[in-house]
Amino acid sequence: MSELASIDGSTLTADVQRDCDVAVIGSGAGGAMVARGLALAGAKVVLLEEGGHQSSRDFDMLEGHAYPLLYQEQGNRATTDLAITVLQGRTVGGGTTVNWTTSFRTPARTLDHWRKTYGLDEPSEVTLTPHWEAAERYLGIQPALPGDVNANNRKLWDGLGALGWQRDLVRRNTRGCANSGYCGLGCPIDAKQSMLVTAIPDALAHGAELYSHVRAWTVEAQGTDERIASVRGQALDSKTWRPTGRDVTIHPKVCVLAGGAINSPALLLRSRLGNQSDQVGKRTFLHPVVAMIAEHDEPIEGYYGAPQTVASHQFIDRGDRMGYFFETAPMQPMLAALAMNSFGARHRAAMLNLRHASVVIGLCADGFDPGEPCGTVSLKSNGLPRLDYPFSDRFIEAARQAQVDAARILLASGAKLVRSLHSQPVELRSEADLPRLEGAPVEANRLPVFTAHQMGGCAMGSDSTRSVVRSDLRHHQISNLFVVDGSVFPTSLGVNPQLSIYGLAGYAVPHILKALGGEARAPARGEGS
Amino acid sequence: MDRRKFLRGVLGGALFLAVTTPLGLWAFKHRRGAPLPRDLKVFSDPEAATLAAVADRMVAPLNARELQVVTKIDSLLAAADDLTQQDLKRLLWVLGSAFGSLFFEGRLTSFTAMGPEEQEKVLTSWRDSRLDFRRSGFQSLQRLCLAVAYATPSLYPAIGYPGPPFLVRPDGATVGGLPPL
Repeated sequence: MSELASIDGSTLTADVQRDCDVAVIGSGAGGAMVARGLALAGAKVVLLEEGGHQSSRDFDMLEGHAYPLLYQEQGNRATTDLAITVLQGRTVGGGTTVNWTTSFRTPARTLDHWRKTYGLDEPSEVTLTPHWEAAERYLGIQPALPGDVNANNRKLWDGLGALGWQRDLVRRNTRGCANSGYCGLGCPIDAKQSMLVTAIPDALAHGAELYSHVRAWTVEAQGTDERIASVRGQALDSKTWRPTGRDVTIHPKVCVLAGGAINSPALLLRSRLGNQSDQVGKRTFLHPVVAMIAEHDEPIEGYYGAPQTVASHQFIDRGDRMGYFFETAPMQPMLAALAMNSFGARHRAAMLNLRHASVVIGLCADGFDPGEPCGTVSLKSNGLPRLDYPFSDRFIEAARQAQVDAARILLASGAKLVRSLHSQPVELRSEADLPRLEGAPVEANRLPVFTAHQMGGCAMGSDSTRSVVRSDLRHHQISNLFVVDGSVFPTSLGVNPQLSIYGLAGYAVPHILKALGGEARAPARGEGS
Repeated sequence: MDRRKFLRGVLGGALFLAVTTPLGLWAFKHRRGAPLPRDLKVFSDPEAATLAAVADRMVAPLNARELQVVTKIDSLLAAADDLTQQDLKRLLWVLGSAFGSLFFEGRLTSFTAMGPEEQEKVLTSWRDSRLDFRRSGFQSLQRLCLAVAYATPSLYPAIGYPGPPFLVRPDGATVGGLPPL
């Protein structure tokens, strides 16, 4: 059944028209979970996904195959000035197919900030908890065990311990994980409980239809009604990613936008709909990542083993300054080659030491100052999304200090040499060298910055002039449009976002069913997760 | 300034020079003799020659041509949107043509006509430039070259990376193990 209901848009030979209860745009953490919850409740769901419908048989752990196949812009998405590399999934399952499985609930301090600053009494911790619990059961989210900690994460753990800083084993959504370390390239053994192997097949088994290789291009209102009448999608060629000329048009009663924090705002902007607040695409958050790389005497082999099992939130709350948190990243050659920001002989020398390298990444929690300049999603002249993200003073200060603290962790872990990612790297052999980092530039294209967590741009809030969706995730002005993805967060989270989005999806399902007019069966509490 | 607007401004002036001065004969000059990849989908021969020269420096001492860096970048770019393609082609024009070099760098020698040491100096000057455009241009070329080079399985043994581990899939099929040499 599920294969019959999954249609590869690239193979369509005629235009498609579909009527349904709910059109869901995007099949990542938000879209897939909402689709499942609605399908279980009896709603007729049509799901559109820009990427292809792969299976574990397509995942061979080779970076040269995986990034073009599974990531936005073939792994080359970036801010307009190329200063920040954007890692974002483009495949059925979205980011969950390629993420590193790290699962945190939304922190209480973040929800508290939203309540105080944006009037969001809901969704609250009390309301979200049953949905988090349901998602945790459904996706096998459990703390990593000590035996899961590879040498790369062990260095982070040891360094944090030596400094007396907060540290935790992270929770992961896996069942039967082999700890191979290739989560980011698609799990080859279906151990990662991504949407690809959980909510998507569940939704399809309950009657949902999935169109892959179909890019939702616009949503359209009929007449003067503030209601979505249709979703127009372009079928894409699976090789060139260009429109084939076939359209998929959905006529839903309710539309759920879940394309992520870059594509969701872009779709509304293209559609010239729903931007009464002028906040669509504004205040985009990236958890911008800086990193330090260390050389050790002993082999680390950071390309093997669960990519993220250790995290520290020691510096997430820095008062008026931007907080940050620490994790690690896998060290497969292509990703490592990009991080080791040099060229020619110097780059080669660094790569020859890959086996002995460990890394600590600092993820900056942006957006907690309401006046902070954040990212902006707008449109290129061809209608595709454009992302700009200025380096604010707050970010520069946090990035600089995060590098210093990451270096301290690595030095405390026993590294013989710690190196920054600057074009002209700062090298440190002891804490006495730390002042060198303070004068090093945090400037676009002098220090590589990455993001794997895109948030904001369709913020939820109580004030319709400052936000795009209400606290129930329904659009302020368009009564049959919901947004259920990371774009609704009014700040970044300060933790990896997937479990927060699963929680939101579970929270959204009853609201969406209500908007459908009670035509479908209401799910039990938490069932949507 | 926006990267695209900046490039358009630069190119407007350079194109004016191209049609009004004999220097036009030097446009797109590249070193002869080095075989260029065939059947490229996006890059013209002059663009491929410039990219090949850049790739030589970026991945040195590895052999960019053996690693088929230009062909692989061409393949990636073929699936990129038109604006992204135009950006990279303009960048290669600025770097690789005599006009671009004269107008933008104040030198008469195109990148492809330089020796390796001079090429490395040019790339380093772009990397460390005060101009945003040069730094982002350098980064785009650096990332593309290094990414496709180090995603090549035949390179794994040389950096001590054993390659993906051997795993058994749920259906009993196997994946991973040592890559072909």
